[in-house]
Amino acid sequence: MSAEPDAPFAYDGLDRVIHEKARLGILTSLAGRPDGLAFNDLLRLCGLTQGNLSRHLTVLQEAELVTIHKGYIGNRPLTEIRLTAAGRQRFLDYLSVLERVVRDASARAEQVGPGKAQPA
Amino acid sequence: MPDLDKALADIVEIKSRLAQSSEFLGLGPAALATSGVLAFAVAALQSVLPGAAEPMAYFTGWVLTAIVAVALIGAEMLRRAQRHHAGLADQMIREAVLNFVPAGVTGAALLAFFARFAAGQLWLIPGLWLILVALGIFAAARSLPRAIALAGAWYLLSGFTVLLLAAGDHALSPWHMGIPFAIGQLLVAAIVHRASESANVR
Repeated sequence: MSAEPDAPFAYDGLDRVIHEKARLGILTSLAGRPDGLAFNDLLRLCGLTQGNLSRHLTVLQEAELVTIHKGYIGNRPLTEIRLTAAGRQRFLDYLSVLERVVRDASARAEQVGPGKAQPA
Repeated sequence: MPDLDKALADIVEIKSRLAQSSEFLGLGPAALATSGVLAFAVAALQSVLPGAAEPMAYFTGWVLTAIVAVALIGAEMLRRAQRHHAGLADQMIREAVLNFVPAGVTGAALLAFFARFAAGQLWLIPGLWLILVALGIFAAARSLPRAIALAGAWYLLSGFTVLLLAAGDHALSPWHMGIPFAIGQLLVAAIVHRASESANVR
């Protein structure tokens, strides 16, 4: 988790599986739901197409960050997605590194000052 | 830097949601059990000391006991939360404390109110305090082991029983506090200990 002393901005803890816009949205949606979310709810919350959501869920499932349970309510099929305990911990670790990134950026911006920003 | 502040606020918000949906492992069985034994000891002491049933001595004793119990449970909570919740420790402790703050503040306010404006009705306080503890436990139940509802039910039942028992002579009995709190805290300690064992947490 901690960066190398000579590379303080390496941020090795930014997990590449999580560090993708759609997957970040999926994990954030699942963060406050210990009982999981239905596939259709995730579609609505993340604004993804069915194909895209399925593809990203497969990546997250292979990384053991989520579990996918396919069942039925009455005669209707229901796919439920939950964060695993390991997924919860890895997402938390990711958030902690992301928080450090933003704090570092904020500190650097304050050092430079608003009128001293270098043009890109 | 409003954008960076907004980003930080968003991250903190997501961590809070994770904290709200995680089981809190910060409550330590040792401190909880000690607080139960302490309640029993204070009740035993008050029952033999002359003048201990006077409202001033009675409530001073129990307020001091509550302060010691909160300090014990709080110290163990800080240690365990740092160990078991790592990056979420601050959020988890905040959530846990916020669940109990309304009950604690109301309990203190009730005592102050009755002492100032209705001293003759102070006999109601032990029963009302027990009911408030039950409400605090029910408020926190979502982030605690499921069996904690049993402890909430115990405190609720004890609260009404104590009100019923004290309604006759309006007397302040040390055992009306000592027995419910001793059994209640030992019950909470046992539930937390069992949950920690199943989660393989020390």
